[in-house]
Amino acid sequence: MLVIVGIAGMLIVSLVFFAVTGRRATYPVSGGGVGMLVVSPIQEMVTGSARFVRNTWRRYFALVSVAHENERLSDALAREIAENNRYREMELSSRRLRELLNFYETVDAQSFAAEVVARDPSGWFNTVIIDKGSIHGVRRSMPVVVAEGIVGQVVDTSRYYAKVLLIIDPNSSVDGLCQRTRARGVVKGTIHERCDFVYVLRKDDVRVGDSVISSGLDGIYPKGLPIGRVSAVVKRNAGIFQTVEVDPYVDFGKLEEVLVILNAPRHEFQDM
Amino acid sequence: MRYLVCLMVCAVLIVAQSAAPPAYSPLYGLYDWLIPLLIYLAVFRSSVEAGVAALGAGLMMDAVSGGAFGLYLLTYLWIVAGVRISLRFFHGEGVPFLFFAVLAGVLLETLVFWSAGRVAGHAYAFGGSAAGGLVRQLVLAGITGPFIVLGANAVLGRLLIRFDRQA
Repeated sequence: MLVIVGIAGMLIVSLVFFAVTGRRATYPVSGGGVGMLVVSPIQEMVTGSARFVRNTWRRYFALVSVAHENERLSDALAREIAENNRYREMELSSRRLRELLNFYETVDAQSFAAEVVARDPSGWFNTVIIDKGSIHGVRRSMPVVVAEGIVGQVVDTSRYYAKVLLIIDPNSSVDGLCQRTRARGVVKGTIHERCDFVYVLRKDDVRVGDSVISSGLDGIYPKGLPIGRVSAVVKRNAGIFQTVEVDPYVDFGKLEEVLVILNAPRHEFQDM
Repeated sequence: MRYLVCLMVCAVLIVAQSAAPPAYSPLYGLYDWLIPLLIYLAVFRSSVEAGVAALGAGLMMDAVSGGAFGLYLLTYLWIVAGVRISLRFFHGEGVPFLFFAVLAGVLLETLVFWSAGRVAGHAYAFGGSAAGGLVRQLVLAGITGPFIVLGANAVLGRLLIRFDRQA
């Protein structure tokens, strides 16, 4: 009975309370300010802490990954720029190097490129100095070529440089073939920046415009490398040889890069 | 120090004459510009300085040249010796002597190289472009040579005199 009375009393008080507060809804309930005064600082502290944590996460820890990403993108961009510059440089130089590179693939031997750094100061000798020497594996008698044809052979080496005797030097000789008729002879340099195709038999058919290539029998140059084009043929009434002049394919005045053939294929001669 | 300066000037001239490709070499295809320099040293400086310069320049040129080793060395020593001997009979500081000295130097160098080629069995012939080249070299040497010698005396001479005073 007492419980029922108590429950009924609490209901009545509640209804009265709701009736009074419901009528003045905008008015704070007495004691709410005290509650806010006590609770709000804590809430503010918690909320602030949560916001601090959230902001810290968003603006710092999250930015670390952004910074990392930014750094990664910057690196990638720098690499792309550098690569782009390299491609642009390659594009600019590819026209000059394309033939050399294509030729490099056709050379059936190990070879590497070298740059011409100096040439003979006198007009009497035709040599150039390249920027590869014994430390790079360059040895005497190694053939030096470009895409257009034979340049010469290495005659002297130092640690970082080598001297190349051009085929237009009077001291140079290359065993050659007329490509069309396979007539043999020796291509010798002259002092006039051209070559003479000597020891060609008078009976052999050699005409102006024929291409002269290396025979490979001199033990220095690989077989089949172009040397030059026949520019004049003189057959005298007497003698067993004819006089043949050859204009080299290589423009020796504009040599910049050359290929040094390291292991030129040799033609072994059997003992008789 | 004086000798070092002389050798450095020689090295600069050698590089200027041998740079590749020829488009980068302003002195390529002219005549050997070391000849007037050596004549200057032989005329206006001491025999030792001229001799050291001839020795150094000859060795350097022989190193970069495709000819037999010693050709340039021989040529330069003969040029210096010839000029020093000629100074006993001629007044060396005048343009006429310098004119003939440079021409003689160019001719001597040509003669030495031609002789070496002949000894080696090359069919060198002074005809056509070879003769034209020699004539061109002689004309250039005759026109510019004496003034290069006097210019070297004016520029390099002052520098060397400064080292003389320090010594």
